[in-house]
Amino acid sequence: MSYNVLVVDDSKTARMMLVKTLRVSGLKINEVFTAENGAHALEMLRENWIDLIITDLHMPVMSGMEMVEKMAADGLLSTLPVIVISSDASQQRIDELHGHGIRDYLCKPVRPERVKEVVESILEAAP
Amino acid sequence: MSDWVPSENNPNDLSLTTMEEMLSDVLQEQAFMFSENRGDGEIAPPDPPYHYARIEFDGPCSGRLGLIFPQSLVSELIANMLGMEVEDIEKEDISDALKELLNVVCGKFLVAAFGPRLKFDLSIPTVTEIDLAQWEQHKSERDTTTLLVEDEPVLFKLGL
Repeated sequence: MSYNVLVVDDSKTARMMLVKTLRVSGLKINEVFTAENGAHALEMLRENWIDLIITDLHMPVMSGMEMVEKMAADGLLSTLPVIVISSDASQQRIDELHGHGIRDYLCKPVRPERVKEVVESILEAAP
Repeated sequence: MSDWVPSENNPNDLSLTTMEEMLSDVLQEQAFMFSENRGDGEIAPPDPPYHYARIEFDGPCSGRLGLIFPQSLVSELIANMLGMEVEDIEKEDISDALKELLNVVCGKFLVAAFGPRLKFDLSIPTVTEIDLAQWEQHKSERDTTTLLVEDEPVLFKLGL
C-alpha cells in the first residue's frame, strides 16, 4: 500500500526539502500534497484523501496547533495522524505537543531514514 | 553603522565553537557544502551584494544570531538545498531559503549549547540585502566570526 502525505509549512524551502526527503526515504509514497498554512491544509483535507500530515508549528493565517485543534473537533479528521516538524527541539515543547494529540515530532534538519522510521511506525500501526 | 547592536557580554568560546559546528553540520547536510574557520588572516571581500539573515531567541537567556552570505555563494547554496538549477532561483527563493537555514541553525545551536530541556522562543527571521560598507562594518564588530564556505567568506554573528 502507498500513502498520500500532506506537508504543511509556510516556507517554500522547507516544503520542497521535506518533499524531496520523503521521496528519497524509501517510504511507499503515492502523492505528496503541500499547503502554506493550517487553513490551506484544512481545505486540502476536504478535497483529497490524505493518510498523514507533517506540519510546521509557526505559520501565518493559521498555525499548526490551531489546525490540530480544528481537526480534533471534526469527526472525520480527528483520527488523522499528525507529525510536527520544527527547528524548536526542546523537550518541553515536544512534551506539550504530545499532550495535544500530536503523534510524533521531527527536528529539522531531518534525515530520510528518520522520516521513514517515524512515518512507518505510525502508518503501519494504523488499523 | 550596521543595525546590529553588539552584546555587552561576549559569547564565550564554547558558544562560538558550538555555533560554528552547528552551522557546518547544517550546510553539509542540507547543501553539501563544507566550511572552515578562516582564522585571523585577511581575505578580500567578495563582490556585493550580501544577504544578511538574522533571528532572535528568548528564553532562559536571550540573544541573536546573524548570517551574512555573499551573492556569489548564495545561489549555489540554495540550488543545492532545493535541488534546483542556479538560473531557476528567484529573488524570493533566496530570502525564504536563508530564513529557513537560519531557523534550523538557531534551533540546533540552542539545543547543543543549552541542552534539550530548556525552551526558547524564536523570532521570525528577517533577510536584508546589504552593501560592501555594511559588510565591512559587520566584519569589524567583535561578535562576528568569519567562516570560509567553499572558499567564500561567510560572516556569522552571535550575541548573547
